[in-house]
Amino acid sequence: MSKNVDATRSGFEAWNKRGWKDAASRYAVGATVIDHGREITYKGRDEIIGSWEELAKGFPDAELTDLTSYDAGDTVVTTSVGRGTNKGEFMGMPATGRRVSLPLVSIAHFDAKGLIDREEQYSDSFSMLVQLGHAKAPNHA
Amino acid sequence: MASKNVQTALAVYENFNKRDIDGAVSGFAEDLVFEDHGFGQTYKSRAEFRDSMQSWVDGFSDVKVTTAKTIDAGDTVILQLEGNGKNDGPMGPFTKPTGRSITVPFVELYKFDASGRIVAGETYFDMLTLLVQLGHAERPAQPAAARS
Repeated sequence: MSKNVDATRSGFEAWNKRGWKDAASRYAVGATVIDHGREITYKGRDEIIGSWEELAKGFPDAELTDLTSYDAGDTVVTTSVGRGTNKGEFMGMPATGRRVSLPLVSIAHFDAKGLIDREEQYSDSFSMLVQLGHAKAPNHA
Repeated sequence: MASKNVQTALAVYENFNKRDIDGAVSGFAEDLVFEDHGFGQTYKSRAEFRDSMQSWVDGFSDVKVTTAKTIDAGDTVILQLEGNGKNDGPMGPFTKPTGRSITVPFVELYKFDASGRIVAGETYFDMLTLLVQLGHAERPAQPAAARS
């Protein structure tokens, strides 16, 4: 396992233990994280940690599972499934008590110091809204 | 020089953009398994994946896909892509075209066998982004400080 893959995976493990500072230490101080699913960009460790705290308020038992990492040198791509129970307000919507399972992909670019300086995340936020009962899935043809 | 797998991956949407859908899927194994996480569907053959590509053309006749980044991880190639097009045809359950244009970022992962065929894959995109742009849904409130 390369150093960058190891940093990525240990970061996910720290995240699952709510070790925000530990997980954030894998990122450069001024790192950019783009969440394409929510169309939000976070800049710097404080905003990144803030996004995690917001998520954990909505889903206190949230965890990232089924990790698969693809090593491309200075870029590591990781697929995972985010799982959690909606026990708190999230995205301005009240808790539903429902469980969510959401496939995710993270594309993390590492700088020369071995820190993530840019990460892009892709997921389907509509699937999450449907699972929470906040939206209705259109019937596929 | 790009690896053979990267060349095969890039050819998918190069051919798609030329409306050569058969050429677009020519690098896929016939028994391909491809997970579409945006639509929540699994295509279990090259033919099913071809049908999904055709459905995009049916809904967006001018659809064009550009490659933002190519990531070579050996037997897996990951493409960061952006789809652009005008909704002038049916799209799944939405049979009435909206006339609206979309810009949707997405990622595709292609997994290759030893002979260079794509045997499995995944696509990730945000269906909500698509539905909002088409006027079929509204995006929930976002934290103002962090909005893109």
